[in-house]
Amino acid sequence: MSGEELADLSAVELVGLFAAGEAGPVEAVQACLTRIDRLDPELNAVRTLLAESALASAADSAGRWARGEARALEGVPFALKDIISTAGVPTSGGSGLYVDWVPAETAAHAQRLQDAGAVLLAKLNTFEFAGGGAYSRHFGAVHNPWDLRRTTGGSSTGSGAAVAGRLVPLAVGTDTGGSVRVPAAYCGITGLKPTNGRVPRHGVMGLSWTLDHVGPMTRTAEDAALALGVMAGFDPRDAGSSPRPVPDYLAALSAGVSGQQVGRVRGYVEEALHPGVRAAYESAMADLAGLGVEVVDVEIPGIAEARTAGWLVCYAETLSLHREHLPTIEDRDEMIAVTYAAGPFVSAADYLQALRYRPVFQRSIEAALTGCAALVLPTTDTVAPLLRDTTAATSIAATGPGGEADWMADVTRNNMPFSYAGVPGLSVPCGFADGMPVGMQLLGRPHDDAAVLRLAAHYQAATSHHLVRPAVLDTVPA
Amino acid sequence: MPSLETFTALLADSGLQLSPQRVGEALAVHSALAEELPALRAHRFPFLTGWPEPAVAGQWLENGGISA
Repeated sequence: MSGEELADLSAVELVGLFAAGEAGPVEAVQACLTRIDRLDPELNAVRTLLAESALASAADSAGRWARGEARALEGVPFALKDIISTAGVPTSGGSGLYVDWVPAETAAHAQRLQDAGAVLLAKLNTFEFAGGGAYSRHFGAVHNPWDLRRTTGGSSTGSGAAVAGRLVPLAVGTDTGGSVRVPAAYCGITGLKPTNGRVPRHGVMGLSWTLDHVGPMTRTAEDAALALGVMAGFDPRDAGSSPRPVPDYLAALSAGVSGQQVGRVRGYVEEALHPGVRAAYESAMADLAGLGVEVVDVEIPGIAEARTAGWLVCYAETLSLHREHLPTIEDRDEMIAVTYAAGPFVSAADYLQALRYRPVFQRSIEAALTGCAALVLPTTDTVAPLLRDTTAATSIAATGPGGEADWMADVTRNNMPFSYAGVPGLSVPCGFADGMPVGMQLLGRPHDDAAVLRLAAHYQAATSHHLVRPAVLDTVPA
Repeated sequence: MPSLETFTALLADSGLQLSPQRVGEALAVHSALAEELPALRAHRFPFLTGWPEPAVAGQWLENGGISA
C-alpha cells in the first residue's frame, strides 16, 4: 500500500497488516501525515502536529513487531483532544489562556494508549475548555468533512473531523453532555462515552467532576472496543475511577446478538426529529431487526427533568472549577462565557436537588432495561448545522426544537440525560439526511459497555454507513 | 421565572461581576430550563438515606476524619 491508503484503514486493520508484515507503522504514520498535509488546511482539526516524535515512535514500534514484542495498539497512529495533558507537548485546552502551557505529565488514559504502542500523532482542536462553541477566537472553527460549511458538533470538534477525514483511525474525546457522541453523529463516526468511572480522567481539563467522561472516537465499534480495553481501568488520581477489572471488550464482540431485546426509547427523545433523521433512524430499527434483535418500545420517565438536572450540575460545577477565569469572561469563547454566566444563578438547593435526583433517574433507566440488552435512541435530532447558525445568540434565541439554529438544544436533548446517569452511550452512523450523517445511540447498563459495543459491531457488520467516505477525501487536491 | 432585575440583584450579592449582556444570557439559559424545574424541585428525598453527595465527605466523617 502506498500514499494515503493506510490512512483509510481502521486500527484493527492496521494491526492485522503489521502482524502479517504487509505494512509497517512508519508507513502508516507517513500516510496519516500526507493526509493531514492535504486535508487539514480545509478541516482545521489539528492543533499541534507531532510528526517527528511520531515517526520516531513508529520506528520503535516497527522494531517491536520485528522482535515479536508488539503490544495491543503497536504502531497505530492516534490523536488527542487538546484538553488532554501530554508531557512536553503544548496543551491549550482550546483556550488562549493556555496556549503556551506545556504539561509535565501525560493524562492517565493517554499514557496507557502510548504504553500499548499507539503512536501519538497530533493534538486536536476543541471548543474552549470543552465548552466554548464552534467558533474559537484563537484557533478558528473546525469544519465538518461532510460539508465544510457545517460544524462537526462538539466539543470534541477536532476528534470528530480527524477520524471522519481519515487523518487518524483513533482519537480521544471527552463528553460532559454529549461531546463525544454528538460529533460522532454529525461526522459519521463511532463514538463511545463509556460508563462513568470506566476511563480515568486524571490529566484532563475538567468541566464537571460528576459529568465528565473520556472515550474513544473511531470509525468502527471494533476499534472502540480495542481502544477502551487499553484506556479503561482504575487510577487512584481520579476519585470517580472504578476499581472494576477491565474485560476483554474486543473478545466480547464475537458473542451473538440474535434473540436479544433492544428497547427503543419512545416519547421525548423522538419528539423533535428532523424528517430525514427520522427516516434514517426507522431504517436502522429495521436493520437491527434484521440481525434477529427484537426491538421493543420502552419509556424512560423523567428524561426532560434529567436534562435540566444535568445542566444545573454542569453550570454549578463548571463555575466551581473555573471561577478563576470569570474575570476574563469577555475574552473567552462565546458558549463557555454563557456557561460561566449561568453558574452563579444555580441555587445551592437546586444543585443538591439535581444531585439527589440522579438515582431516581438511574432507576428509570434500570426499569427500561428490564429484559433488554440495550436501549436505542437517535443521537441527535438534526444533522450538523451550518457554522453560521451555531453562535450562542442563535442557540439561546431559538425557541422551537428541531431547527438548525437550535443546535444546543438539539445537542443536549438526547445526550445530557445519559451523561448525567453515567450509563454507557455509543453513537454509530445509521444513515444520511440531506447528505449528512445521522447517528444512532445505544445505551447500556453501567459497566456493560461490551453490550453496546457488541450490538454496534454486529450492526456494522451488516450495514455500510460507517464505511462511506466524505467526498472531500477525493476532491481536495494534494 | 426570575426577572433580569432579580438576576442582577442575586449577582450583586454573589461577589461576582458580569456585564448586563452576560446576565441577560444567563437569564435566557435558565429560562430554557424553567419548564422542567418545578418537577425537579417537587421530588422529596429522605433525610438520612439516599444522599449520594457529598459522599466523599460523608465517608471521611465515617472514617473518623482519616482519609482513605
